[in-house]
Order: sequence, then structure tokens, then C-alpha cells
Amino acid sequence: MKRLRWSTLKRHIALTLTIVAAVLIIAALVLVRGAKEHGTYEITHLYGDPSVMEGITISGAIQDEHHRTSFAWLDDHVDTKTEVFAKPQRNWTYHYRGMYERINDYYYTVHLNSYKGLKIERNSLHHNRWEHSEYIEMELPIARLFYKESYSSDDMRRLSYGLAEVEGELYITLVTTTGYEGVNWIYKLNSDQWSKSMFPFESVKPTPIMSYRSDRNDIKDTTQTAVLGLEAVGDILALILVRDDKLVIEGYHTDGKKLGETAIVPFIFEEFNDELADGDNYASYGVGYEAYHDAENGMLTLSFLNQQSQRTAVTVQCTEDGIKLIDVTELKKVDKLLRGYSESLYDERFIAFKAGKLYEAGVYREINQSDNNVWYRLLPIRLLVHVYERGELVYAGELMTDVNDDLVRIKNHSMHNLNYDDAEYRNLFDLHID
Amino acid sequence: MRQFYRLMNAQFSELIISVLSLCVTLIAASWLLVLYKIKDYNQYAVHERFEDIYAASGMPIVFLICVLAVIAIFVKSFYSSYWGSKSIYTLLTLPVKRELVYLSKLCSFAISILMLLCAQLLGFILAYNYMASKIANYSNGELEVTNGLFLAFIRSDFMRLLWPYGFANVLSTVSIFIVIITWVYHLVLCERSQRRLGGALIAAVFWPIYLVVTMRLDAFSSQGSFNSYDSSKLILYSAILLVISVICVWHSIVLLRKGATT
Repeated sequence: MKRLRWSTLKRHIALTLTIVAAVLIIAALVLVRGAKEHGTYEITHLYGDPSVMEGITISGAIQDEHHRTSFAWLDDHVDTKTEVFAKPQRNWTYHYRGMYERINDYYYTVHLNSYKGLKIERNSLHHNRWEHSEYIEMELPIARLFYKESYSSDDMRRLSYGLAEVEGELYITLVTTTGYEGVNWIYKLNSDQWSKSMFPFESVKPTPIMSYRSDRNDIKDTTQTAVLGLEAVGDILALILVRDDKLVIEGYHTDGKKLGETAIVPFIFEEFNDELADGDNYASYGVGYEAYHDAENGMLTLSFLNQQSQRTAVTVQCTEDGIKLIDVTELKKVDKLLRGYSESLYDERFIAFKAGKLYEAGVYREINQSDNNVWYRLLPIRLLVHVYERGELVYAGELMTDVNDDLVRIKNHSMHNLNYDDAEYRNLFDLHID
Repeated sequence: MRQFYRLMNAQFSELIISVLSLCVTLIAASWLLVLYKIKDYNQYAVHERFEDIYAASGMPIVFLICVLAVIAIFVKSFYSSYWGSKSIYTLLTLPVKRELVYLSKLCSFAISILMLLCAQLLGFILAYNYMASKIANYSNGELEVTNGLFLAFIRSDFMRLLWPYGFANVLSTVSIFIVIITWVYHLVLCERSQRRLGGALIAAVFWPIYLVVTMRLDAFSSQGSFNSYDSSKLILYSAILLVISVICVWHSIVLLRKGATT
């Protein structure tokens, strides 16, 4: 009887085993790949009333070289969508400004070109790497600015803060220190003749849309002016200046018409007017700022970091009617065991002013006091959200994720022979508040 | 169709015992090698990621050996009909088309490879679960990785090679297996019919396979450099492999029809 059964089975053995193997493979793949949305995304309320989060969406992505999970924290739940890359991708670690200005799909760098003009370099991003460098050389009458001291390499690094884009057109002003006197301009770069050569054959003559003095006409007037940068809010250009102890934001139409200005006093910068800091009464800030644009509501939020690694967010509203100061909030240090990275290089942050409140979503690193020397990138990540109303913290929350599970492999590991590759660790990217 | 079905089952039943034992060996090896690799794990040990342990345990090599073993089993079963019983004469005098004889053997070879792939996948999952449960016993949640099986699956180069994501990658993996199956069978048919030139295809087969594998493993090499990742190139190489497969199938059938293989 048994023999008979085996021989019957043998007659169909190929089909039977094909079906068994196929079913097992499909089931295993569905089980494993279907788990792509099973990562942890949980909201924890740490402080205050969570109702301030109603109608606010905090979105972002967690990414490593192999996959990316986009998430959206909306009211009381989190939606996720995971994409597995066909080809491993490098993470893009330069989140913020400094040497690079990201506009749409390009990263721009501005170089000073032997004091005769500026050269703009742009790179498109391809799989989070720079590709296809292109250049435009511009003739700018920089000589109209008399520099009292030489342009330091630090200032060079800030040049790209002077770039802004309105409706596909690039505008540029020369970022300066207080060491400059004379006439500065906002130019419209009336060219899209990008050259593949590092030394373009022809220079472009940009059109000035307006000019402003970096000093006063009156010689007796000793006002010191520095240019921090140019921002675009919708179709309005916001020129960020430092005048003596003031932070001044001037609004311009793209035809050069001035829309208004607003000033915050005192606002002391370590580099320009530290002597005005009046002892320890005022914090003094670094010149590198972060800008967050909300074109829909005409809001521009600038975030400055002071010497004590504390952030101050300045929000102005730029409309056709003028420039209005909306809010100045000092962001609290969350916990002494947490810190945000100060050099704006690695970690994500987004700040937005919505419905009378300032929302800040940022990545913080846990500092474990027992191993203070651990490399910053290897500290556990936390995504915290803070909401301020009239300068006061009204809510703090956290999005709990499992990104720190990637650090399991370095626990108990000697730091001396650690082979570290950024791309192998998940990190948070593209935070946004809507 | 009925004849083909019966032939295929008959051919496959010659391979079944050896292939099944290979599959069992592969699953057991996944578990045992990973078990050996993590035998000293405790809460003070460095916990490598599962995909790294799996790769370091030698499992990719074991899998490759198993594929070679399946090929050897197939080749042996092919030659066994020439040696001893000379059943090839019976086979070729059966009142069925010779294409069907060819296709039935080819299918039984393909099913053997499919079973091996299935065993590899099950072995990977088994070994992961073994490791996860071992760590869970002592870690108090500190050393565990949430959703770790999925992460290991997408982060392992070896698994991405076998179980790829993306159309071009899937196509290239499938093409590699198809070309290996058809080419090996063609090679032994050429040997039997003393067509020496049949061996010349080796370069045509292995060069695209080499390019596909290195391209997919070394996806970080910068744009424009030699063999940097490019999905259109992958599709091109896959197409070359598939064309070679078609040539192998066509030529194999020609050889069988001519009766050159006896």
C-alpha cells in the first residue's frame, strides 16, 4: 500500500515540489518584505497640552543607504511609507547652509573671483551625491566696496548666503563684514548660460535691481553695517543686515522697490559688534544663520545660535504691505543630557511659525556622561518637537523611533578600531512642519 | 503535454533525493554556522548585525557550493543515461518529440535550483530567528533590533543579489539563473555530440555575469567610472544573457533532433 502511494506521488513529484517551493518562497518574501512598515513610530507627549499639535503635520524621513521611510506625524498618529532602494544611496549629510545654498534641485556655492567678481558654482544632486558641476562667472563692481581689512576665508564661506531665488530667477548680493564701506547691490542674475568649464570663457553682467550703502553718506556717522544674507519669501526679497547693535531685515520687490524694514535691538554678533554686548547682559550670536521659509503665509523664520549654543528664532512677515516683526523666541535648552549639533552640519531641524505659535522639530543627541568622548555621530538620536507661545514653552513631544537600534553593533565595541560608515546607520532627514 | 509531464516527473525523480538532501544540508548549515558564529554572545559581547554574521559565517560560499553541487547532480544524471544502462537510447526512441525530452530535463534542473533557493531563504529566516531569540534571552531589550529580519534582508549584499529589489535587479538575477541552467545543459550536449566550439560560450556567459554581479555589489563606485551602477546597462547585460540562453536552447534542440548526442 505504502509503495503504491510513493509511486503515485512520484508521478507528480515535480509539480508538487515546484508548488511547495514557490509557495514557501512567496510566503517568506511576503512575510519579510511586508514587514517594511513595521518599524516603531510612536508619539510621546512630554510636556504641556498636545492640542497645540492639532492641524500641524511634522514630516520627515528616516534613511540609510538601503531604504527610506517617510513619516508624517499628524495630530495623534503617524503615517509611514517605506521605499527600498534598488541601488544603495549615500546619505546627504549637509543639511544646512554655510558653504552651500540649496535652491530647488541644486546646491550653489559662491566664490570670490580675484576681487573682480563672483563665480557661482552649482551642482545637481544625483543619488545624494554631487554631479555635473556648472559655473557662471559674474562681473560685479566689487571695487565700489572699500574693504578696510582683507576678506578672510570665513567670510568667503558665507558668500552663498547672498543667493536667493524668486520664480526661477537668481538674485545675489555680496555678503560682507563690517570691514566694508561703500555701495553694495542686489543683482538679478539674468543668465542661465551655465558653463561646464571651471573657467567660463565669458563673464555675465548681472542687472542691478537696487543699491544700498554699507555705510552712511555722512562721514561723521559711524554706523557699521554688515550683510548677513539675502532670502526669498514668495516673491519678496529679504535683505538681512547688521547695523551697529541691530539686526535689520529689509524687504524688496524684485524690481528693487523697498517694501519696508524691521529691526531687532539689541542683537549682538560676536564677529561684528561684540564690544556692544555690555558685559554679559546680551548674548552674542554667530553669523551663520538658518532660514526657514513659509511662502504661503509670507513668513520668514531666522534661527541664530549664540555662544552658549542657544538658539533664538526671529520670525518676520514679508508682504506687499511691508515687513513686520512677528516673534522673537529663545529656544530652551531641552535637557542638559541632550544637545543639538551646533555647527549645523549633521542634524536636522525645522522651525515654523504657525497660528501664533513657534514650532520647532529637531534632532538631538543623547549625551551619556559616562562616555563623553564618544564620537558625536555615534550618540543616540531623538526627534523632539517644541512649541512656544509668546516666548514660553507650551508643549514638548517626541517621536519615538527605532533608529538607535543601528547603534547596537557599537555597544561593547572598542572605539579604537571602529570601522564607521555613515551610510550604514539610519538618520533623520528632511524635517518639515506644515 | 501529458507526455512532457510524465517525462519531467520521471527525470526529476532521478534528482529528487540528492536535491532534497542538499536543501536540508543548506538549511542546517545556515543554522549551524550562525550558531557557531554567535556561540560566545552574551550581554557584554559586541553584537554584529545579522547580515554581517551571516556573511562572515561563510554561508554565501556554502550556497555557491550547493549550486555547484546541484549542477554536478544534474550533469551526473545526464551522463548516467550514457553509462551502464544506456537509457539514452530508450529515451530517444520514445515516441515523443525530442524537444520534449530536452525541455523535461531542463525543467527538472530548473526546479532543483528553485528548491535550493527556497532552502536558502528558509535557512536565512531560521538562522535570524535563532539569533534573535538567543539575544532576547539576556538583553532586556537593549541589544535587540526592532524589525531586524527586514533590515537584515535589505542590508545584506548577498540577499540583495539573490532576492533583489527593482525591475533591473530582478531581471538580472533571473537571467543569471536561466543562463546557467541552459548553458550547463548545452555544454554537456555539446560534449556528447563532440561540438568543441560549444565550450567557447563560456566567456560570453561569464563576462556579463561578472559585470552584473560587480555592478550590483559595488553600487557606490562613482558615476561614469568603469562599471558603475546603471540600470539600463543591467537590462542590457540581462538581455545578452537571455539571448545566450535562447541560443543555447535552440542549439541544444538542433543537436538532439540531429541525433548528434548519441
